[in-house]
Amino acid sequence: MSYVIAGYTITLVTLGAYTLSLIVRLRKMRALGRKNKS
Amino acid sequence: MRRTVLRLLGPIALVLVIADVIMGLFVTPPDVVQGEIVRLVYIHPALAWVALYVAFGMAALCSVLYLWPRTRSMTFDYLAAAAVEVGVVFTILTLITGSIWGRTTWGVWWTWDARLTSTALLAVMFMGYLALRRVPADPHVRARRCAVVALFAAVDVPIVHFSVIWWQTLHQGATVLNSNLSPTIHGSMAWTLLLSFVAFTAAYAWMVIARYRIEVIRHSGDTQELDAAVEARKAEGVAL
Repeated sequence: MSYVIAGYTITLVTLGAYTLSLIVRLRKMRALGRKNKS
Repeated sequence: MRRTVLRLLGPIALVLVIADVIMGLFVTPPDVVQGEIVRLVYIHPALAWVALYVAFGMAALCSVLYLWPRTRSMTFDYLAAAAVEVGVVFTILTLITGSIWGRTTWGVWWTWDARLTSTALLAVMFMGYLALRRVPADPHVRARRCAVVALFAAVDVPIVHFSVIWWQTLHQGATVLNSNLSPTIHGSMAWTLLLSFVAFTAAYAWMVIARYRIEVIRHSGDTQELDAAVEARKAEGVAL
């Protein structure tokens, strides 16, 4: 069962971290876009 | 309507993934032969499905649409870039979860099996694609180069799919889409497997949309700078 938990943990943590990185990058880009317009 | 769907996609994907984890870990029974390790079936094939067929399939399609003169648009280049980046993440997770499964069933973390090797090669080729995108060049030149590389790399997708048929491999054949089209998995296990495919595809869709938006905003900045530079040159009296 420890192998299963390891597989699920690696998958969920990686996808979660990647999702967070996308959200942060998107917010940064939107802020930069607004700055450029003004 | 479209905005509502896009806003709901993230929460829907999250709920589906959580449901898949709960079903996979706590509801479905252990397998008669494999025991508890079979629970990896509720993440590993779905990750592979998204990486190989959805992400790299979309990258190949967008690359063809970019290279085709009638449909040439930077939108397809941005979509291909988004699909490849997310696809590489899913491919690496496919290899890691497959390796964990291999350790318990075959006794090794890695073997140079045709399915494993061709999948690793696919990951390396699409990482090369992402590296190529970072090489400074005119946007259309870069888009053309990347589209050609994506199509070249996508040739490996059918090789990965048919590797278990063409060669003697340790990796098992298809469970659902086998040659008889008769799934060898039933009941709650089959439903949870189906749920995993839907959940990870929804998560992929949200990620690609977010990554595509980043790409569009990033390059709209480039366009604004270029427009400003052109205007400045015109003001100087340079014929452009």
